[in-house]
Amino acid sequence: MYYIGISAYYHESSVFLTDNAGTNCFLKEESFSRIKGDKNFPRRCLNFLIERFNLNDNNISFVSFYEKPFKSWWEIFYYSIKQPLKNKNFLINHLKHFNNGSIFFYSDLIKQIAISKKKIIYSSHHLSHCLYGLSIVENFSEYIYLSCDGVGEGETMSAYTIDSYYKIKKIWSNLYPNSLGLFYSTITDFLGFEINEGEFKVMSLSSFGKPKYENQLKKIFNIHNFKIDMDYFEFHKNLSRSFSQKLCDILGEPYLNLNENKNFKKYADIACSAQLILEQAMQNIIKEVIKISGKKKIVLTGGVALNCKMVHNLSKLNIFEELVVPPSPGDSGSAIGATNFAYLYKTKHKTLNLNTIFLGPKKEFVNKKIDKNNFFMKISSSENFIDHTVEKLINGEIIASYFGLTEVGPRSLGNTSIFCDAKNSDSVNNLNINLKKRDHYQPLAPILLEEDFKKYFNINKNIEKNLKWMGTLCNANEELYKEYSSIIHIDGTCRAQVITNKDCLTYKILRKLKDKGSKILVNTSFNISKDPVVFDLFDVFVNMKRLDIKYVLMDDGLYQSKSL
Amino acid sequence: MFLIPKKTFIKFEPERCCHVLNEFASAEFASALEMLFAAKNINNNELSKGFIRHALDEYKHSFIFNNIKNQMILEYKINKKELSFVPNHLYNKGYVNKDHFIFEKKRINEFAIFVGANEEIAERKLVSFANHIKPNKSYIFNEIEKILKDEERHSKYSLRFAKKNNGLLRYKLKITKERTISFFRHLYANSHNKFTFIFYPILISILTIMCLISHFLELKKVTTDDDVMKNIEPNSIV
Repeated sequence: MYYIGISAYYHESSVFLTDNAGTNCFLKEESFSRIKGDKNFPRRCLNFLIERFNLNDNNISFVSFYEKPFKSWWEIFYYSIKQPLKNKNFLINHLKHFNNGSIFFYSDLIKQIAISKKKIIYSSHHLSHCLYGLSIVENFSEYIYLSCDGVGEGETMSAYTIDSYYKIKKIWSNLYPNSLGLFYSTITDFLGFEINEGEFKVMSLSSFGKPKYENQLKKIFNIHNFKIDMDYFEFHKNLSRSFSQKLCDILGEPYLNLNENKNFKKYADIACSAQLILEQAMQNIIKEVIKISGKKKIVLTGGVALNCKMVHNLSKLNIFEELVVPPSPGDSGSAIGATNFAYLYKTKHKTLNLNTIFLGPKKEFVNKKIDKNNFFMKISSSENFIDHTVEKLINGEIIASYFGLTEVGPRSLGNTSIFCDAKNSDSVNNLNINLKKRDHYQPLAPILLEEDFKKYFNINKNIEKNLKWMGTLCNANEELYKEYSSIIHIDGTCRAQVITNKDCLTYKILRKLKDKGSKILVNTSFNISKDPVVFDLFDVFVNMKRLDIKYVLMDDGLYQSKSL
Repeated sequence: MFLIPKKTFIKFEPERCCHVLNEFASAEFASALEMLFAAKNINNNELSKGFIRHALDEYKHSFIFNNIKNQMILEYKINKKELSFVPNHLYNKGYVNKDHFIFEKKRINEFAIFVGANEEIAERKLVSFANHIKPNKSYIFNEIEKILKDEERHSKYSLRFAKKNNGLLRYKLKITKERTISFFRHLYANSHNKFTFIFYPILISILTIMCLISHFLELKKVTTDDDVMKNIEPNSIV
């Protein structure tokens, strides 16, 4: 029997299917529509699953939605309607989009699959985050499950604990509009980046600045009681921007062009100040929930948890024993949490046993009906393709990877990536600026064997676990500056990933690379800016042509793309 | 979907040009997605490759339009966030239907006619925009000329395919129908915002009623819960 979890309508839509016996399939709607951050009902994902798993009412145990649809819609509306005249435009828009939202989840679902109503259940927004977090740790009862995002069902942060009998307690929460996530996304908006997409750019930018606006921003977000001063915000009433004129009065003109040096410096200072407020507030939140629960290990979920600089800086304070951020802490990962909710609801005393962070489908499963010889030709035999790949990498070639199971979170962990030798600074710069078209202030991430990590990096033990999925930053050692300076961010950090699984292809490549004198690869996701990561072989081919990449490493060999 | 109203678009306005370029970039990107989807779903290798070629061209055009727009933004120091290209906005702007791609709804012959007719429309709009911009920005005009050649080729290829597979009379009827539909679709898309005021009184009435209800509502906010799984109602959406 299959359990299905769905997250949709607000951030990128996703579906997770599992039988808890080894069959797992996590899919994002953007993989099918090719529109990054696609938040529509995941119709195409469901159709794919229905076809591949022959889904029907008989083999589905539950379909679980990640939040309570009406509650989610109502809580924001209820806040804004207290001042109907001031918030008129927002309210009208909210009403207009009533029929596009999650309230119609049931009717959207049964258009795709006939399933009895009693099998459709609804989790709660932050509970889904918490239950996803629970699936990646052992000794789950030792942890506090802290969730922090923009808003979900009227809550902006909440903390849960779970005892060994699976009794879940909500020990603390903070209510809308007092949101650390919305504070950070408002600054993102002010700096001219897209909300829900540009936050990672603010984080990168912050390393170039000084916290000159710390005191001003502290008046806006109180880091002790976690309340925001709504005079500076307009996300509850304005459709086109989330900040008010009052914020402009203290920070200056919004949306300036970052290519001009003086604007860049000023905006870096604002980003740095916002980052500092985020870290100080999170520090106090963690202290608070540790005080309430008496536990010292944290699983942090929600969109805010994607801020790996915050995770790294918090680790230095030694306020917790361990901090774990799952690979997909945002709403799309909540599809897994919703599935876990269904499983726990059914069994009462068990949760899913997932055993891996790679919960997406195998590449060959995705491409069952596609003949790869139409687009690619094998250029090395199955026996020596690793040697051949490494040789090309050492010679400065940029190589795409498309093998194994698909990753879950926003970061490609080697299976759907683009690699180049981190020692070769020309290749690194070419990949970052020319191919990926990233901004100069965004660094690329290194990937290396676990055994080499300590030589080049250092990190506090309390966040070490996150290194397996790029969940945190780490400090560069002197050795790294000597050999691989092009991958180090301005603040001396890197978002490194360590490989421990000896059976995976990335491990074998890195091992062979080491024999040739280089120990680190650059790893970036296999996509173009503003495009989702490649999903099937068509996407691989099209993106290789667009990026001008010649070679792709697959499960059974190194391939070259054919000309059309 | 957009039109360039000739009457109001006489003088060279950089900001407005950037908006138009952004729309062109969105339209080309959406077209690339439609072509990629068609390539994945057609049971004919040669046609599939043709669709991929078309998709690659459209992606390239989208990139060029964005590039030109970014250059103009820099040159004229325009600080407008809405000028950034956001793929997710393709749905809101109506370039991609959220429920289906066009290839899911049309057979290959109809799809070819649709593509041909719409490429013609795009070509006309592009010519009108290129001529508008030519006196002030000749380098942009040159870039657009290259795109125009591609568009012309796409249109010719699609219509030749449609003519061959539909027969001349059916082709003529279908292309006339498609051109008429496209004209009204563009007209609707451009007038859409102008007609939303019709629904305004209804929305205001609903809002007033809800405002009254919520005034008397005293909702209890629960910030802690001793047994979440026991207290949650899984079948409820509230």
